[in-house]
Amino acid sequence: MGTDVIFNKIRKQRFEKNEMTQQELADAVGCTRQTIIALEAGKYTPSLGLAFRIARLFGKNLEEIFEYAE
Amino acid sequence: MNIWFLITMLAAFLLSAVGAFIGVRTLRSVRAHRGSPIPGSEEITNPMAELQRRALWNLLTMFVGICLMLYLFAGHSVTDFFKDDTFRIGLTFIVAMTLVFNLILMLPTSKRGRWSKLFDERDELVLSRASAFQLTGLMILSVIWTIGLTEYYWNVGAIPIDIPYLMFWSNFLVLFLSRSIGIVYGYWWLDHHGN
Repeated sequence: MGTDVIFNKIRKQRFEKNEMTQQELADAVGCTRQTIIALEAGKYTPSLGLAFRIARLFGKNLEEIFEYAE
Repeated sequence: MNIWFLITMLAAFLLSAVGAFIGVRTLRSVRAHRGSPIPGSEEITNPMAELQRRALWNLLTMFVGICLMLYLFAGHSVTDFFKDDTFRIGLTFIVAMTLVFNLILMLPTSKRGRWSKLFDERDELVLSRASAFQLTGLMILSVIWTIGLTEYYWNVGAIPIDIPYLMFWSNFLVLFLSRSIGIVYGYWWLDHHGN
């Protein structure tokens, strides 16, 4: 079984949503800015709860923001 | 009880902590000047999390505390713990101060009130993994105590009554020290390998 890799389009979505800052996104979804930075850099895989909150904030489905690659 | 001894130890502890604080601040400002980001740009490299920063401060404080304890131990034997009041009170005082510093620095882990904004699921993940370091630290400490005591007091057939007290304090110290090491290592791991 290979390593799971999850890509995300958070950075792109942020800029499309009135150039939202990392801090604003963090406050809106209830996490720290460090977590958003780690997510954008692909260094952290979020919990399902956080992933849903992010997707919902951008008005998208989970799979439109997060992409699973094996 | 020698009050001047206590005052001297307290002053030494505070002076060392202030010195360490100034040292880290200076180092941070030198690093910031060396590679200032473009104004208004967002950071790509992850700045330190609050918990990570506090764990580093905790390591520094514990290092100062342990140095002071070793300084106190120099010229004393373990059996002086109950014979020499100044030695016992001084040692207990330094250990207690170190642990109080640790408790204050680790307040964000309480997740209550204003601390909750500084602590999220990523920090929680690091903290949960740090408990493995605590367990390992305690295991190593118990091995050190067991081998040390049996080797040293084998012929006597008994250990001095002071030893359990020292074991108790050392357990506390290792518990907090290994958690801080685990936290620092946990963030390093996340930054380099992800979760």
